Amino acid sequence: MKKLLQSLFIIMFFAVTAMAQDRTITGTVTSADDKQPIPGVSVKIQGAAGGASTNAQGKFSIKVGTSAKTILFSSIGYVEQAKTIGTSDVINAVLATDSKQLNEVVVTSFGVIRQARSLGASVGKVNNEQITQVSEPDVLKTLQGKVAGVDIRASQGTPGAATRIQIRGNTSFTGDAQPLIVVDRVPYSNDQVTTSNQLGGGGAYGSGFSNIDPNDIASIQVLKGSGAAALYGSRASNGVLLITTKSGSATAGKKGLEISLKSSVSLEQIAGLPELQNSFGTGSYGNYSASNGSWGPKFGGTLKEIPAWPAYLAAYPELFPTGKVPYQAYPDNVSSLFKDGYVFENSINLNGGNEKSAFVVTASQLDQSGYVTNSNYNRTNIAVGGSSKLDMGLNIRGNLSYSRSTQEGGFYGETQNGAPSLFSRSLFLGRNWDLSLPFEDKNGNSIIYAGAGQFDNPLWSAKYNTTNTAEERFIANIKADYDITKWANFSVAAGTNVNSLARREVIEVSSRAAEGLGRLTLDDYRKQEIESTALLNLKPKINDDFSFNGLLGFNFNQRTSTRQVDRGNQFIERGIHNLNNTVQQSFLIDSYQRRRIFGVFAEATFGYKNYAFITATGRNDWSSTLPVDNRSYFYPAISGTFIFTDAFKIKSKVLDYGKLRVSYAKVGRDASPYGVSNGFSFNTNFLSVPNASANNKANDPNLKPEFTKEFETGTELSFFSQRINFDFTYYNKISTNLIQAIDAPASSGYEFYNTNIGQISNKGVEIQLTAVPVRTTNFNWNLSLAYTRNKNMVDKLKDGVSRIDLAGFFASTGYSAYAEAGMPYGYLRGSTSARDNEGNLLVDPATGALIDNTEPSIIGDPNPKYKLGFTNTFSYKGISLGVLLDFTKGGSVYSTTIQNELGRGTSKLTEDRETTWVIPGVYGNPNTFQPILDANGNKIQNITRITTNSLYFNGGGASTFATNGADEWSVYDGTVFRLREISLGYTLPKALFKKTPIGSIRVSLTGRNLWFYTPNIPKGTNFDPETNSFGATNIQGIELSTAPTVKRYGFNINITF
Amino acid sequence: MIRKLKYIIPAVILLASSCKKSLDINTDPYSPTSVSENKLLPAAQLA
Repeated sequence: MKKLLQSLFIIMFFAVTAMAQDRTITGTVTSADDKQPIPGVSVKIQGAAGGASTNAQGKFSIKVGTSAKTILFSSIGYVEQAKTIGTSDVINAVLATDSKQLNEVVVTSFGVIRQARSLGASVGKVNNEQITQVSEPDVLKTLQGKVAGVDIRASQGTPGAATRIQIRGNTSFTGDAQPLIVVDRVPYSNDQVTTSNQLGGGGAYGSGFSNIDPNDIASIQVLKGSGAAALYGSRASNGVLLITTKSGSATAGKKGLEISLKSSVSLEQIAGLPELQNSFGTGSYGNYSASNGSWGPKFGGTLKEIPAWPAYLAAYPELFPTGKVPYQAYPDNVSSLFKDGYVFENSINLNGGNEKSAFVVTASQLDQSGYVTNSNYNRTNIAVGGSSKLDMGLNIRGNLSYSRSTQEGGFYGETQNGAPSLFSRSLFLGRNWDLSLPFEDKNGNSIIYAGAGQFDNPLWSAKYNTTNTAEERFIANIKADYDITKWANFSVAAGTNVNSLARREVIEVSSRAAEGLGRLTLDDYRKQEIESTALLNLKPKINDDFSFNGLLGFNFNQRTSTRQVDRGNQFIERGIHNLNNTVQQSFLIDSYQRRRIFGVFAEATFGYKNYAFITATGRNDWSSTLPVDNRSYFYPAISGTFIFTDAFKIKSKVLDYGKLRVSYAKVGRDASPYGVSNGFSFNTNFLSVPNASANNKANDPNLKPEFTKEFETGTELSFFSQRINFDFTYYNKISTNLIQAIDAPASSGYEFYNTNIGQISNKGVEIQLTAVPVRTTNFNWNLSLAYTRNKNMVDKLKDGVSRIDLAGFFASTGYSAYAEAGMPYGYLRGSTSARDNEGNLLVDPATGALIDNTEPSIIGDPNPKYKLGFTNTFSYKGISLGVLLDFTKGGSVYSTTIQNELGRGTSKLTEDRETTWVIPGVYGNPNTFQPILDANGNKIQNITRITTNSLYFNGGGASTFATNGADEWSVYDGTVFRLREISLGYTLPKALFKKTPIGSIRVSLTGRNLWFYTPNIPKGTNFDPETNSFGATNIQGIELSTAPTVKRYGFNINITF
Repeated sequence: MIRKLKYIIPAVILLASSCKKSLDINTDPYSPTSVSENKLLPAAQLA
């Protein structure tokens, strides 16, 4: 593939050098208002490829061919102007200021283009430059901080790990709460295929969206609310991410061939390593032992040598002739585990055509190697698109894209849960552990420094415990449209998105997991989605005052998925990783699912004098996943907009545009397939006797569709000739009839019952502000602010259901993420320390440690209070500097990484071993959970001193603040300030390549996630609360020894011809 | 316009009429709704 790409580069380079241009036209573009030159104006020859832009002095220079007739000048905020090319080589233009958004259009549902001013709901937009200039191979991550209302969360810092997107909060209990993603008219799933539970291991699995090539994206539009997305039907209650690719938007009218090349190289490193103490080795309470915790004696004291670790001595006696090793610190043993990673990316885009036909080809190759050994992600994308206007009046467009990605990595998670994790000790290694020693014995078995089987040596785990995934995706779609009359257009579109994933997970012999016998798990997943739509778009001319836009449509969607997960335990011959080489095999999953939806819909927009619009929509769906009597459901939407500045003819130098908008929408959503009738499943033969049993889940035969009702209102204001633009939105969204399996009474014969059980609401505010504080001839300063606040609440659950365990783990302690009436979705519940009626902690007088409650309770809310993205872009002549800072306020995270750094005494915070500590609180009775009173009936202040060791890891299992402590002490406020992106770019002067076919060259240096600050997380842990163990799923705020985030430094070069 | 619609409308009706049958697919092919008693008995004995 790489050779093919290289060949393409070479062929195209020579092809363009053969193209000829005849003469050069120069000129100056100025503003009609203030007569000042306008920088950045796009200058193009009509019907030809390529173009130029004005410099800081408003001057331009463009080569034109002999056939060129018209030159076009366009810039945001100005009316486009066309000038005829005559004999003169100088053409100047004076551009008039555009009335705000008079002609701005947006792509709405099913690709229908509407005037932005007529839309009654909020729509966000991100362009190609904002995606490709940031050294980030994951498109979703490039949206962070840029669009109000959109919450993007990363999971782990290893290549290809999943990213989660959510718009305006969670609207489902355990169903998909991510928005509908539509790429060139075809839905695109961001599914995460989870092979092994990420609680007890599992990989940093990717999500479907990582297959997308950012270089092929022309633009992304975010239809945030139901009002904008209702026509899309069942999945639109979570909003819609509408992606237009370059290959899917080939537009006829261009002439010739335009080529752009992009190459980038980035260095990536672990974003935050903990500050470690290097004064104490392993042991407890100052005494040495070959344990995990670094609570042993001080280095440099009387203890000079310790016995060689038993596993090492047994494996390599020749390395330890005295049987002893020095007792000393290895300050770099943690950092030495990680290396510098890199990202190489190359892309070529060809765009050409004539007045009737156009084509686009994009090919890209990405190679990423992470900071963890053997963690890699590679992706190859090829996309071809074309459009043609046939003589009979039919317009046809289509595109085909293929992607193949491979992800290599290890297992993550907390060892206490039996994980074969390579991060089980990595960030809190014993301070006297010498990681330069071999990580395996002469037979290839993991050897460690503490007791056998307690964890896997991280270096051994990285080499032998692997999860490798190969994924292929084909997308194809075609659209034909025909102008029946001047005001009626009929179109038919059909497309398919086929995704296949094959994963092999190997746990090698001698791992802590799989009883040390080895395990192979194979996961094959295939999903096909077919979507077709027929649209009749009506735009009859009524009169100068009234306008009408109508839409009638039919939509069909079919999703089919198959999955087989097979497992083999206990390898017969070490190193041969196939099922035949295992002693015992089992079929974990063998499933097939198909669902269909038919929908008919209509939309009517009435406009008055182009300043008042009312839009009504309605859609009826028929879904295969609901009972026959409930499978048909209708949902309407209505919205209105009013441009009051036009209506009241406000001619102000301050306010130049003002729009009010309001919408109400209802969107229905169907169920998962096969959720309305009960069935049986076949079990493994017992003593060679085939047998079957009823499924453990009963289904409600009267299941109803879920509905989301959303009210939205907002305003768009523009000041000082569009120097300041303000967009405010308030929304209130209520999702009812939510479907969920709940515990069933044992007498029913089932464990679970699947039915409509509850309601979730989301209320929020979004603010998008853009401004140009400084605009001079040479210097521009643009800023953009995106504010998102969402308050989520589970309003009610079915009678008799107190709460739903969303993650289903730690059942013994009750620690998990839950849905409960009156609480935010996914709130964290776990063990807590007892307090008196005044909130004082109760301390056990016998130990000086805390007394824990017997019942779990609320310990955190992972939903952030608000998010803020703040982008500043400074440009001076050809140089530009962009900085994106973002801020997340609140959002709890339960972290076992921090818990272990403290509990195992490796953190710098535990270095003070001389001081003893008194837990602030009062003495309590560990049996009655009441404060102990003195003779006068007063509470007794705790004065029992405990050591630093006991403060974080109390011997005997008494509860303090880290290991063995209540869950609440491992929950931290995830407030974080972050330097998300920084880029410094330079567009080379055209004079440098005047006599070449090169149109432009731009180079840029970029940085990503270079700095973050977490005021409420223990200092020195350098823990990034953006990590999450459960990837793109609904479970957030739980971190179980994950791979930390990365920071990245990149260099990009873009060349156009 | 009317002349062209006479082709479009029947096509849409034809498409819609085929919908109902196409929706009767909500039965898991790998999970039968009934099994013979001789398959259930061993599992019941094991439970």
